[in-house]
Amino acid sequence: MALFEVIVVGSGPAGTSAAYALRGCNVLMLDTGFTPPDCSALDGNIFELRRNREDMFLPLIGEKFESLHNIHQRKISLKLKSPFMHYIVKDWEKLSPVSSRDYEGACSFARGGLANAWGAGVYRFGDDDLRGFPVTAAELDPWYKILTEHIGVSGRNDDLEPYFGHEAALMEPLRLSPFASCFLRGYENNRAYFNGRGIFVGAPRLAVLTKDHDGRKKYEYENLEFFKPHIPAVYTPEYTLTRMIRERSIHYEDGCLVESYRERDGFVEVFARVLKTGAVETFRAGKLILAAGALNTGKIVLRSNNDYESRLPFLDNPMAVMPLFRINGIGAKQEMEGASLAQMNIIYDGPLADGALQASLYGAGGPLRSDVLFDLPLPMSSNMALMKNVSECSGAVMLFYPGRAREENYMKLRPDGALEIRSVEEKLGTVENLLLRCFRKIGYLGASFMCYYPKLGTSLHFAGMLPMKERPGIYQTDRYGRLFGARNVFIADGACFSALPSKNLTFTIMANSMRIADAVKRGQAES
Amino acid sequence: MDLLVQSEEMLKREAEYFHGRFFREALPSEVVERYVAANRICIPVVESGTAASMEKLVSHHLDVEAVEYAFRLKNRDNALTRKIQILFYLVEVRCKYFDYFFNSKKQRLRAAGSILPAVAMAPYKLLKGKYLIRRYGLV
Repeated sequence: MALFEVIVVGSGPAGTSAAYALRGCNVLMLDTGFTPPDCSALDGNIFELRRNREDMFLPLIGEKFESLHNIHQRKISLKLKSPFMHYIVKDWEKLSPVSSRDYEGACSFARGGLANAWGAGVYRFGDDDLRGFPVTAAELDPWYKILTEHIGVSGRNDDLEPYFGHEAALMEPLRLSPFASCFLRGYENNRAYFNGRGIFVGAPRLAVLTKDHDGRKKYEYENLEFFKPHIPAVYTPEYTLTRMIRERSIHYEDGCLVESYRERDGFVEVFARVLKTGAVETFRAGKLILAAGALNTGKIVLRSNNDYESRLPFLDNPMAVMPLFRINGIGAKQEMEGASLAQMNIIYDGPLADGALQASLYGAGGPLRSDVLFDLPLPMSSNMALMKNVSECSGAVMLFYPGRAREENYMKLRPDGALEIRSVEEKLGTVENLLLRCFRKIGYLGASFMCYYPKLGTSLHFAGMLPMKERPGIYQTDRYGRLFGARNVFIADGACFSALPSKNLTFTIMANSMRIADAVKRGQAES
Repeated sequence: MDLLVQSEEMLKREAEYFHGRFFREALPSEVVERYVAANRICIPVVESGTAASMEKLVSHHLDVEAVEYAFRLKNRDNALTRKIQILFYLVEVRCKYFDYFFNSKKQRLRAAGSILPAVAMAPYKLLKGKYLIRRYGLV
């Protein structure tokens, strides 16, 4: 049996970044690795296609009615239910069942993981965000820099620089929609008013190319983000993974669901179920890096310890969605060219919250109309008239709160293999009220009764099951992600986060997993 | 309450009737077939009372928009709303229906002219829906 230097489990942002940092070593990546169907039916601008092609049933609804998922099944993100994106969450409830009353999250067994449907927001954690971590921002900085050059980041050093850090290598930000550019103008004309209330607005930092970079084409404003994976301008780990496989810098085994591991003298055995045959195959390596996504990594560790009792912490960002509407834009023509990505970022840094909160402004152009029409408060023909005439002047602000470690928020593995997840809903609303009041000043109308609070798991930002600690205890990890009590098992994904700030965590998952993998490579992470 | 599988014929009648209340176009036959297939997946069985309500809605030519609105305000996940949502998904992706959902040109005055009556009509539709539900014993 081959003995690899390192086995990396999972191909999402953490696994791929770890493997990238380990290039030059004898690395095996184990992955379930579902891949997308042929998406050529969606080559072009989404609105042009919808206006000109007689029937878009197959690419937009799907042969198996995938887009109707939320009508009859546990709700998932609108991005994950369209036919060409559905592979990202294919079989997740079968492969990693969850038992929870309120959970509306998902996990991914696709090649590249959930990041195939991410919003591409890339935010450095500062020392404030890293409170509770045994790692400083300065230690992550070199990895953020490498990643920024590797993936290409667009954005601007603007009013949000104190929160996002100065970045010299930014590409121009994406072109704004009329809805967002009016919002920005309103903010700039009333900067003192907003800043005096702790509100700062600026361009998002996105892993989206606005010029060609490293063989990938710049963004084309085709508004396909809800329907088509692997838009070349929008970075996903899958690009890096494909290149590493092509260049043979790693060994890649797909179709394997890693279930557990066992430490031996000087090496680790990894047990993976082969999806095609159902047989369990054993792989061996000197070190094991678990990066299967926070939930699955926690599950693998618990199962490897035959532990069906312990509760691991469960962190998730509570969210508030605030619909906004600008009266001046009623009856505007549908903009054909656009992006369904975050248009602006908004930071609230004031006395109503413990630490800065981050929000993103989105337009309403992304999803199918039928996804939202039935949530409007009027009869259907009125909703249609409303949607048609205000969609170009409406959107939503998504506000993320930090995930808090509380005894009531936990995950545990049940003997039947399902994950039990519990989390207490937080009382939110104060910051939303302030934001809505301030937005009204620049003509953006919203109301607190229209705010929507998605259920647990919707943010898909899971973390904290096996947190890094200066002095780790059971089910905790040291500063290099090494699991307490283990010699050669490391945790590299969100599971090892010590806290979950309001900022999107994916970029930091990538940087931290590179840091951990590099330490493993250099032998710094020895016990 | 008994659970029933709705007949294909009934589902086809529903599709025709619901569509006619919201859209002017002739209903494409593929949409009818897909409506039946989607119902088999999304709403494989309905309570007997719901099946009877669908039958009454269609055969008495009741104002389905008013009834749906009254049901939706009470419970977003009721069967009628889900059925109409299925139909909307199926027609929305056809180019013939593009102008129902998107403005191809700027039309500020026309927009105001369609939104204001649409909003004003809501209380009337709600009252009418509630009346029809009681009058015909819809569930």
